[in-house]
Amino acid sequence: MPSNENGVSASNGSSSQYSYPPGIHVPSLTFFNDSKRQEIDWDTQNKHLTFLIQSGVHGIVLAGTNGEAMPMTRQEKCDLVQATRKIATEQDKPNFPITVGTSGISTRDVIDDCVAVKEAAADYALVLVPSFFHFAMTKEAICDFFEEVADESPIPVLIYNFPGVVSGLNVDSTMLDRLAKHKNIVGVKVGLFGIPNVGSMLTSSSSSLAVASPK
Amino acid sequence: MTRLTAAYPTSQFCALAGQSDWLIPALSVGGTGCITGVGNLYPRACVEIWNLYHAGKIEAAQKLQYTLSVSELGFGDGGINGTKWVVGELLGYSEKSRDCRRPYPKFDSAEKRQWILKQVRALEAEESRLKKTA
Repeated sequence: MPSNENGVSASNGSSSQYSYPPGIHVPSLTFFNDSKRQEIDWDTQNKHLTFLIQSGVHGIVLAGTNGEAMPMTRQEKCDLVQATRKIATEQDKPNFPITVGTSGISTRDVIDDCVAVKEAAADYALVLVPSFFHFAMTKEAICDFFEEVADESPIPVLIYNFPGVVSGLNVDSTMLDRLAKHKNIVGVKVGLFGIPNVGSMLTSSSSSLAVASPK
Repeated sequence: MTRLTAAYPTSQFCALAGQSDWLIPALSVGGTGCITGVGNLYPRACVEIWNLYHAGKIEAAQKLQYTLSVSELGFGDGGINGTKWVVGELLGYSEKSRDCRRPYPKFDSAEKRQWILKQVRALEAEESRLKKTA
């Protein structure tokens, strides 16, 4: 089983200390040119990916919210994965962790995203709840969705909890407690449900970092 | 986050902060890292906080965390178009490639541009220092 430079297994192996590489993952921006079709500006994109990988971050997330996943095609996402893998390999980091955001509006579409980016050499899928039919998405439906995607995805799933971009659909801690039991669900990116602005709330003289979770 | 990290080992389930302004608080309750837009401009400073925290240099990590929180506000309130503009401006990328795909509006207000520049640059000195010592 391949390991990255942090000694972290690239998949959800039980022998690994971490199911998902720990550290700083940067949701890379995607740069588009000013042509009428606003195609990806590969010159700038490659420059940026090189800058990020050289800096020593622990991973890159492509096609997240910052990377404008929603307006991008599946093929473009795969092209981004391949470009990132190529640059990382050139920098002697062939196992550099690459996570890709999914953007399908149906379960099958999200699964297709996972399959496609895996073929392009991505390591993890960052999965957002499809929200077009948000009025029908009960907690049960949301959990069922993640479990079906995780059953079918060839790469481990990182839950992306960001109610602000999915019509308020929240994956609460009770739901996460259920989903964490799935062997192909390796973690969660916690949006604002955590402890925002806490840095500015603490005084500079405070030596204690213990912070209560709001939930 | 605390409930999850208490219930599951990191070998099974990891919780990551979606913003870096609560990176250290997240680490202190068992979080394993963060996915942060700030890293598009100041990746070394983000990694430095992580390194300081894990080296047990909590005070230094905390101090840098405060600066990062100021910078993070610029990215958060600036939006994706603001983030792309300021990253392009400070990293010297083409002016023609800083807009989001339409219909996301352009970040073209001179006043907002000045504001975001000032806000995010809180971390600039630290990033430069880290780059030199790398």
